[in-house]
Amino acid sequence: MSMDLKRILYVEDEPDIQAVAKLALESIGGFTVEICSSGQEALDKAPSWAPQLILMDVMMPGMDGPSTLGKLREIPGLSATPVIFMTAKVQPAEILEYKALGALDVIPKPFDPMTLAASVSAVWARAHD
Amino acid sequence: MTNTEPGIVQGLQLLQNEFAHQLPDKLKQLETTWNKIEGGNLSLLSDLHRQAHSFTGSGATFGFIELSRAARLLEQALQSLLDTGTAPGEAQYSHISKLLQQVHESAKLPPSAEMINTFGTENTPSQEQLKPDDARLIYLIEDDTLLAEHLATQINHFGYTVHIFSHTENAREHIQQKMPAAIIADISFAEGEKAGIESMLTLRQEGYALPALIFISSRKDFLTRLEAIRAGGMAYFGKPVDIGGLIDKLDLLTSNAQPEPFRVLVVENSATLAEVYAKTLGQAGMVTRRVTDPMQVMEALDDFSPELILMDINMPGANGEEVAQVLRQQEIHDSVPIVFLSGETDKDRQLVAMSHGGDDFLVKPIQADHLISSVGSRIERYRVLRNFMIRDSLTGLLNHTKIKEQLSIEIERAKRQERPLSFAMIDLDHFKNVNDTYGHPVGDKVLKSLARLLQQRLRKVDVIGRYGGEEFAVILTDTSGPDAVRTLDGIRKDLAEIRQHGENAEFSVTFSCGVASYPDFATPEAINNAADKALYRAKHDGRNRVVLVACKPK
Repeated sequence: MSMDLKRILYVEDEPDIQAVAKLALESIGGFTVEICSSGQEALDKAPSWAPQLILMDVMMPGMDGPSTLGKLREIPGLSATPVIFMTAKVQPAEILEYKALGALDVIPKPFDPMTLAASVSAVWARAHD
Repeated sequence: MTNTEPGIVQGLQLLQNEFAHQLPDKLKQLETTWNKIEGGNLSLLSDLHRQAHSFTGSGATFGFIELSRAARLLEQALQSLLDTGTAPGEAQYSHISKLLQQVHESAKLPPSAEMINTFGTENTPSQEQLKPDDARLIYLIEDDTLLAEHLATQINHFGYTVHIFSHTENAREHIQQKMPAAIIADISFAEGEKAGIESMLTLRQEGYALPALIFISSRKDFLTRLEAIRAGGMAYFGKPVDIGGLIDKLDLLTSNAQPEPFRVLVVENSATLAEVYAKTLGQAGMVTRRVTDPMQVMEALDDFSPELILMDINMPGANGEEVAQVLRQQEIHDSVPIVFLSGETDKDRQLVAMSHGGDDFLVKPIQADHLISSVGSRIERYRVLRNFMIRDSLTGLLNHTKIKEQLSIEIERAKRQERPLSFAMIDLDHFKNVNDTYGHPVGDKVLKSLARLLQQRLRKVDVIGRYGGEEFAVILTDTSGPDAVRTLDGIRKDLAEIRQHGENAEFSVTFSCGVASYPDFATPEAINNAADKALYRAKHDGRNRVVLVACKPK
């Protein structure tokens, strides 16, 4: 039996996407979602908010997804928090690259709002069974 | 049945509207950035790239699929410019300018409804509430006037209004003006050997949402049937047309009643996965119950009565194959389909699972839409099969076995809830005369008309069955004896007034009815015997009447 997924930190610079993903994850998935608009905000917020999972856009202004992931890993308590990347770049080689960086999985963009929560849950379940 | 919780659909709709509303401003920003770059400010190239990237990611999520596509091309062109790090030449300026133009053009296309409608409530005209008159209106397109008249008479008899058209053109004009509840169309006409199919196809291509569409034809080849389906045909009847089957289809297709949601039992030891499956199926309007411990499956089966079991194959305690075997050994559960879910890609293991009573095998991780369609189509087939098992084929009412079973269940319920219950046995008077005089097909029609009358007049909570021959049985839940007598006597009077059509003759039929009630009679056998006696009394007293059995002396 796996631990139930509840708290998701969502890192994304696009306000439109933030809104639709939050709605999808909260209404359909029943998760609690905290939004960060940049990698830096995620680094600031994650230690105290203590997410179970971080969902992160790859391409963001300032600090991009992979750099943010690297910095997160240096923070005590967040070194093992699973991170799922969301990106339009989903060539097999790119996915392997993200996984090599320590991402749990990659969810392609653009995503379908109706199934986003199910995709996240499925990744979570695979990792915890 | 693709109903999502309305809140989510509305929420997404609002977000989509908002995105569409802001789109012109965003496009203007894109244009402004580009103008500055053309003016020599090359440092803004990465800004333009980001803006394009943003359209790529958000466009399709909000239904602007073409916008996403065009933005991606722009993004890629800008990326390669940034990668080389050189100032763009004239050709590159003009290329990017052209891609930008495409972004603008594609943003003008209306958003695909996909974002909302894939899982949202469908809203085709055929599903709108039809006015009461129109809800029974049937267009019959048939050039054989004799056959058309014959069919129309029969269909009228079951409460529909039929308009006959002998040419497809004429029919098309009427369909465009006023949509009926159903269309019955022949396929071959003087204007073309498949003109029936073609005219329906044309209407659909013109954007008309056709209602229930039934084809009738003497053509029985596969290709024609396939073409009929592609034209939107929901049923296909060979000639001579089986009237009973046709009426059943019409009833089914024009009924406004919402079908019962599919019921799925999810047996999965990972609570998270169980939740994912339940949520996914829930999105498609199915009702689910989750069990994480295989030992609790039996309890859930009795309590929840699922129409399909979705079961993980690897579970601690008892694996899926074992659970399936246990279920299959019990008569009451041995027909419920079992679909196994597992990470197994091993063909041998799948075959073993099937031989142990599984019906299908889905390999994890499974796509949501695949899960929904696999489960949905299995349940649909299960319902058809189950109908054969529990229903009388002529009238569609419950068969003898099932109504007796239901009587026990309802009496138990009445006891629990301390509510009354009435049981009635109905027998058509002199039915043998009908068969002898007009033939069995007419007799069958009479049986069906009584069945329909009972269905129309009784409540959804009442249980109606055909006991055999010309005998029917009805369970009126939460109804006292005197109330049951009032209801059934009304139906008796109505039936006597309905004109039945025999060949070259009209006639009417009556019934006799015996009623007994709980708590006067407390077991299925007692109430059955009492109703039977009351029926005998009704026959003996001169038929065409309803008799309530006198209360058993305490």
